[in-house]
Amino acid sequence: MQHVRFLHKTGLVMLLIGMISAALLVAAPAPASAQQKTIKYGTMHPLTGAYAVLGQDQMRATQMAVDEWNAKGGVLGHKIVWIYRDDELKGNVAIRRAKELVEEEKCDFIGGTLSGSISLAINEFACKTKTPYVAYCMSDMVLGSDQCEYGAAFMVIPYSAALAVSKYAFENVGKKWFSITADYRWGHSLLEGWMWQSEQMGGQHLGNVYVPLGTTDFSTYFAKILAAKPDFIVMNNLGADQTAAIKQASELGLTKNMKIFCTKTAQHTIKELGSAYNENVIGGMSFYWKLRDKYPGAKKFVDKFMEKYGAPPEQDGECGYVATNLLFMAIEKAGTVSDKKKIMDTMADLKYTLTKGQEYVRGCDQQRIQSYVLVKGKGAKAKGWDLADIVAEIPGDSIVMSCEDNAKKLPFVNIKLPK
Amino acid sequence: MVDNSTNTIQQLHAPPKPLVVYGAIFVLLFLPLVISTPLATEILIWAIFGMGFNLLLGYTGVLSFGHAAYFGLGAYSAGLAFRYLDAHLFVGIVAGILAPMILACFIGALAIRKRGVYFAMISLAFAQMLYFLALSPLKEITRGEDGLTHIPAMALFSFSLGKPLPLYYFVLVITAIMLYSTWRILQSPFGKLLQAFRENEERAKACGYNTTLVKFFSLVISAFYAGLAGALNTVYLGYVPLTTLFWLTSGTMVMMTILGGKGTFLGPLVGVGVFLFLQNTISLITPRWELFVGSIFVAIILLFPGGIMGTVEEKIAAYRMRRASK
Repeated sequence: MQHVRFLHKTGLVMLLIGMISAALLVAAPAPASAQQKTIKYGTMHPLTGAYAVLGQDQMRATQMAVDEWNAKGGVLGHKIVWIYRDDELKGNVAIRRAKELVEEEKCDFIGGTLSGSISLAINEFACKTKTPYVAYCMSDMVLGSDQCEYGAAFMVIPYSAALAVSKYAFENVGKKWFSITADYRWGHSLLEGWMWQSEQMGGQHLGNVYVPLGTTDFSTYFAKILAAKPDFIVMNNLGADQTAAIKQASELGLTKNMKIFCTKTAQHTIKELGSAYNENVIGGMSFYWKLRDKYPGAKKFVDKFMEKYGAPPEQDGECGYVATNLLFMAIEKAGTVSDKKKIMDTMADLKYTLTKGQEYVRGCDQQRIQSYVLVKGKGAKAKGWDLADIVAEIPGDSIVMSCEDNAKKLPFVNIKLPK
Repeated sequence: MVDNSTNTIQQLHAPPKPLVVYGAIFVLLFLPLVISTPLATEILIWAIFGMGFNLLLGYTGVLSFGHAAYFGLGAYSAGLAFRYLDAHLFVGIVAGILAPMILACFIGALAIRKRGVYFAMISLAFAQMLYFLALSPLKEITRGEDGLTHIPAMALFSFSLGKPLPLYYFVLVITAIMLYSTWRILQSPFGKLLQAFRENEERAKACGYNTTLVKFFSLVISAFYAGLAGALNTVYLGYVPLTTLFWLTSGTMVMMTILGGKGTFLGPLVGVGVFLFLQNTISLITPRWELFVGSIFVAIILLFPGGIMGTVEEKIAAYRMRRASK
């Protein structure tokens, strides 16, 4: 018993000492930063998980942009220190990373992420900590109550992609359409965009099938779709889901005479599908490397990226490149590295020409207003990275709603999605 | 010799010395000096979750493969209270504890009589049910796959928990209380009963104990821990990701507990610490971290068949026995 009591005592004394030192730890003022002339930019990318390829592209493009600025002598004489983290495409990990970047690494600015829902959480975190955040992914963060003055979105809003592709489809192909929609928030947002545009342009929605993520067998869906006799099929899905769907459509001979529209597609999806992604498959992207024939800025960017990494950038890379550049351009123009509010205000309404034509970040909701590109596949004629041809570039102003509408999520909030 | 071996067994199953409890808390006080504070906070939160899980798996011998349900429900209950009712910190945490306990009563009443894999499957089914409920039918309030956002920053009286260090020490105080309570539970007659039941259910029954009731209470207490951890996770993240309810959360917990050593006092804490630390640190060095972390786990399981703490405790007991026999 004596022994136990002794142990109790030593334990308590130890605890007391510990607590006092811990209290000192909390109370101690943060050490004054030794490095005066640097700014710190931290980014998060899904370097593991389903979209690791795209995450890597984001990271590389960010590196390129940072290197370019540092080669010019940094921003306002400050060297840019850039660090990145793997967010594993998981919300809780992304928040931990963001906390580490802002609170431990003392990053002044954060960026990245490749999932709409993660970007919403990080956007909110950025607001709470008043840390400027540039999102690289398609995100609804500029809509409704999620809007925040410290967050800027550099990929298009999901509905914008739908508006762009649907506009082209209704004008050039036909009015009767059938859709395959991945059954989650992003897919639903795209479908809302399509349905609204269809109402505006006299389209006829013959039906929709919701498909769970990770579906590999689409044959039963195609039978239903063919029976409805649409002019074209719409795919509101991505990645492996899109690959599986188009592959089966091709095997069933559908791609021979029917047009398929992918509201969003990706370079590596086209490459993976090979001959199945033929000229009847038309996909949307915010950037395709062949824009380099149209814009000198795109040529410079694409050539440099290819030289450095041996492959053309995906839209995700381009987005990261523009977002990183815009952040530093805003700092430079604002003339301050510490007044974050002023930097965000400057970024809004900033006009620039980087990788496409002239674009701007809209002042009222910090959304980058940019064009959306439609490409059609080359099927068996594809060679190397020459995978598709650009068929249209839809101007950015025509596919985005006003800030007043965005704040109320209009008009899409009124769309009744099919069951 | 006979005396010695009984001694070993007694030592192996004896409740840990008070020094172990205080020592663990002492070490935890300085954790933020060694690793990043958000990571340290996460380790504490998962350790609370792990202590509860260990009580059920390690001490009672019941495998629940749906503990994400209690953790996630705790997280969502606290989050909903914070977001919609503007609840006080402690009110939210209490909500986060009570809801999973009620759920545990329900699941326990339904399924606790089942043993082994059947109970594991039933609990998994309930957890997945909650996951899909939060994903779709309840998405108006849970925000579906976007996760529950817009949770206001928390403060303890007028002391803001927005900064990492104060939050860490707030969670540490709760962890310390839970660590101490676990220690007391294990020493109580109830704790002994749990272990008696794990070793031989039939004999415990023959001794006149209601083993079903013991299992039931063990599950409810375990849900208390999980709910508390979930609520703290909400305070820490300021957001509830839908994945808190996903089966992978349950799987990770099983993995962490076995890694640390199920049925040992410090096992969950060590398991959680090692798991999160490796995952976090190696991913800073290489994007192929999964390969390395996986290999290390395999190595640990091979080197420490009873989990890290399980094997360490065995070694210590064996060493003492040898010394005593000299």
